[in-house]
Amino acid sequence: MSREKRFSPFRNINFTMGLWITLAILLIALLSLGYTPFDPNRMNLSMRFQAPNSNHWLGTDQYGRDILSRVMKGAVNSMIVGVVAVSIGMGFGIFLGSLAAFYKKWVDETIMRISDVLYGFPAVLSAILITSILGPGVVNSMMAIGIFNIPIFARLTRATSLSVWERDFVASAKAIGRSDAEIVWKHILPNILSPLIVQGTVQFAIAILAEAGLSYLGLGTQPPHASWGRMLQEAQTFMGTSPWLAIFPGCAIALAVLGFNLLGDGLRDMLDPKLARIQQRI
Amino acid sequence: MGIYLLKRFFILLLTLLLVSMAIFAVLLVIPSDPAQIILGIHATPETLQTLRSQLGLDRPVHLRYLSYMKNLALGDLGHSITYDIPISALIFSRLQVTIPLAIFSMIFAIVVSIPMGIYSSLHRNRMGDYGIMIFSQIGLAVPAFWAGILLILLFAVTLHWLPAGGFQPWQVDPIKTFKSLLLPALSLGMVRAAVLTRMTRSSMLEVLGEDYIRTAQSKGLPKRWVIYKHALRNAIIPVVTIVGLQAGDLLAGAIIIENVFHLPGVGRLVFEAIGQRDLPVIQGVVLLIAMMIVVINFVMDVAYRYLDPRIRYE
Repeated sequence: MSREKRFSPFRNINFTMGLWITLAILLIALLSLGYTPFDPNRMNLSMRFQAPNSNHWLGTDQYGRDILSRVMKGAVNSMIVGVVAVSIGMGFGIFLGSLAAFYKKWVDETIMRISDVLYGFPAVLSAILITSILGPGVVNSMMAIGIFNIPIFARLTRATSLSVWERDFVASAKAIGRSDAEIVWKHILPNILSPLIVQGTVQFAIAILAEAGLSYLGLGTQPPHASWGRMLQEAQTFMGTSPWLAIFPGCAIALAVLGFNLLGDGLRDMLDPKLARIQQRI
Repeated sequence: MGIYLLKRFFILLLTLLLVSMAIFAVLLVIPSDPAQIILGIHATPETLQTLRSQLGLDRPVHLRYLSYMKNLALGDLGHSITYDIPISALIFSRLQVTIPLAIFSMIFAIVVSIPMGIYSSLHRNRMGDYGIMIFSQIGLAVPAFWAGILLILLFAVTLHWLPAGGFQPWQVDPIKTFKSLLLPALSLGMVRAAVLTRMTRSSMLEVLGEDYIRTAQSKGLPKRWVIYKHALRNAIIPVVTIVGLQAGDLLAGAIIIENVFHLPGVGRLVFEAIGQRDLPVIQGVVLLIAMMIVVINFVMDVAYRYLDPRIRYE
């Protein structure tokens, strides 16, 4: 008797690698809330431009601040921006997408046309425009990135829930007198959750990149708070003599984005069996 | 085809109108007074009021929008508060940096990605394929501005082969100008190359599994002929669409890259304008980039349907 292969998410290399990387970054971020080797914002001019050594593992910057501690604090910043930006995008996007799918006609047309306009706008451009209105700062940059996420989730919610509304179990729920809001909450949303989660991980990676870009331009996190993008911007002036200033924060961004991208790829393979089958075939 | 084009063109015009309204509305909220910027903080309330009237800032919003659109139709984007020159002339002078930058980075992305995508698809699940896929994952994860910083570190600071930044007009020394655009184009193009490599690979793999490829192979056609004449011609269609979509991102990505390399392009112009609260310039540049993106998407949509006859003109 042939033994049936048991499903294990860890068979998927993308998922496994992505999960380990994101877990590591999350743990570092959590750890930095209670512990960092040095105070990340404390200046020590006698220790300026220290190359990586046994005391300062990743070296020090132009103010003598410990790079490792700042990279660790930067992880908290990136995680918060990712969570808030994706939550804003998901919250409003799911609401608007559900409205479009439910009411159809002019409601659908209006929401989708506005989404099209916003969707056609590149993320960085939208974020720059919005932070220029609201002013620079981490809260405003989170909002800017979140607003850019809204049309992405609205379109996805609408596209996936349209077919679910035609399913028999929704018709049955209507027949037994369930309210529309109840049907959306209990029947539509659970059935469209997989693609939303996958998109959420992808948007998380994009949010980290966008925040780093905004902070690099001086529109995101403001000094003295640590942000990977801001650290890179400050490093550029001194990179000829102290290249480590420009290397470690960049590695942190790349690793975090890589982790979420791999996790998204892995989740998509597992949660979307149709796509997984196509990929196996090719 | 004619009706389809007309319909698409109508949607294009409607989108452009919506974009112009959105940008106009968004910039109305900016907490800045152009009259105050021009006259400085020591201006008296009377002079400020006079200038506001001259600039038309005291008129109702809808009238300001209508006159803005009327001027726009005549190619007049207004006057820059900071530079005191027509915005269209200002943007035009900056485009001589941004357009070549976008073109070079796209050429780099296409030249690198399509051969890599083809190679990867033909050597699926082998070392070469894994190597290319790892490269593309890294390319997607590395922010373009960090790639730019690393390239400066290597080619400008360490090897002294290429300039770390700055720009000379094309007329002065075209070779020097080309050299100064090389590193920014590489950093911008790297991410696009990663996306296009993945797209080419998956598209090729899909086409290589089709029946007509097997038929071509069983007819005894040379492998090279089957790959380039039959597979690539069909696999390239979705790649063309992605190239079009990337064009918009390229223009936006230029904002950060032009700041990394201190290039006086459109991206740096909008960034400086935000700092100086030069509202008409922000309006003009953002509208221009948005218009370019919308038009490129329209052209790509039409090209896609032209390249793939299976798509109906509904």
